[in-house]
Amino acid sequence: MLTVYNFLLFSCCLFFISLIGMIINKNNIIILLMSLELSLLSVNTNFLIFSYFMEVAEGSLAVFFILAVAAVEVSIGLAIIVKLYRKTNKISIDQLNILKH
Amino acid sequence: MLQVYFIYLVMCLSLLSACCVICHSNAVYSVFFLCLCFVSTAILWLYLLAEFFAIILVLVYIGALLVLFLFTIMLIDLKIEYQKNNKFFFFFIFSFFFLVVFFILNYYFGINYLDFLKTDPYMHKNMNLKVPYCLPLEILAICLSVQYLLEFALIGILLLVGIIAAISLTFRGSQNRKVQNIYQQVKQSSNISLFK
Repeated sequence: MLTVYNFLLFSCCLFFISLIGMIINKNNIIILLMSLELSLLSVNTNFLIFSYFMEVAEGSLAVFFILAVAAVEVSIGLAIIVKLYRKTNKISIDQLNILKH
Repeated sequence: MLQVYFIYLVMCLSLLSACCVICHSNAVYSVFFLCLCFVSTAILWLYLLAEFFAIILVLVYIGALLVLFLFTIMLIDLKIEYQKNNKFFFFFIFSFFFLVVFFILNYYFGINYLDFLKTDPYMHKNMNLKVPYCLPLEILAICLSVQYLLEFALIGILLLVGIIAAISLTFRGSQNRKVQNIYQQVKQSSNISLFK
């Protein structure tokens, strides 16, 4: 029988994988966005686990809102990446300080 | 018991594909592994009786967002930057570490080891649910349209703002439009101007 701990371990491992992905891919914006998606997925899984085991409907509603916000965030992030690529012909975090000069 | 093994298999598939996402050197394969991770997590959400959200995850994320990722990677030619670093070594270390941690802790918190937790009656009640609680879509819809109507409307406005922002960031206008170039107009010397 699966308990709440097994599911929580899964989402915890997923969150730490995404955290390590953000650390080792520091100069790669696209994989950074993908690890952000993974962390949001683990948070959603956490909400659904507690909504299932504690019989509360609000947890599922939080998943609804988080999905919408994540969709907006990723679309705007990719639009910024395309705009940056058109300006400088390459994307890297090191060149994001154009406004400094 | 077969169900439990299947859920463990799905969890391991999801964790392995997440490790592949962060360790692969080619971004296109990363997107495909992210797709696999989302599909396996959707199967897990089906077990948690959230069928609507599993469908939403497959339709919205894999149908829209990952295709958006793929289009962005196709628009941006990044092959030269990606071929340099080979993170294959990292992949083995991460996947091994996370799977070992996952299985050891799962074994530790398994069926036979729950006795020391039974002192807390609240946690005991919540962990050992015999009959899974069914969350129908009607409850969700009523809760969304009565209690959280303002948040629902705000999410709609947020999506509209996101559409406008993404389009206005990337839209360049048509190629042959006849708008005047202010810089070129001001730059003209006074010798060739029409009115003196």
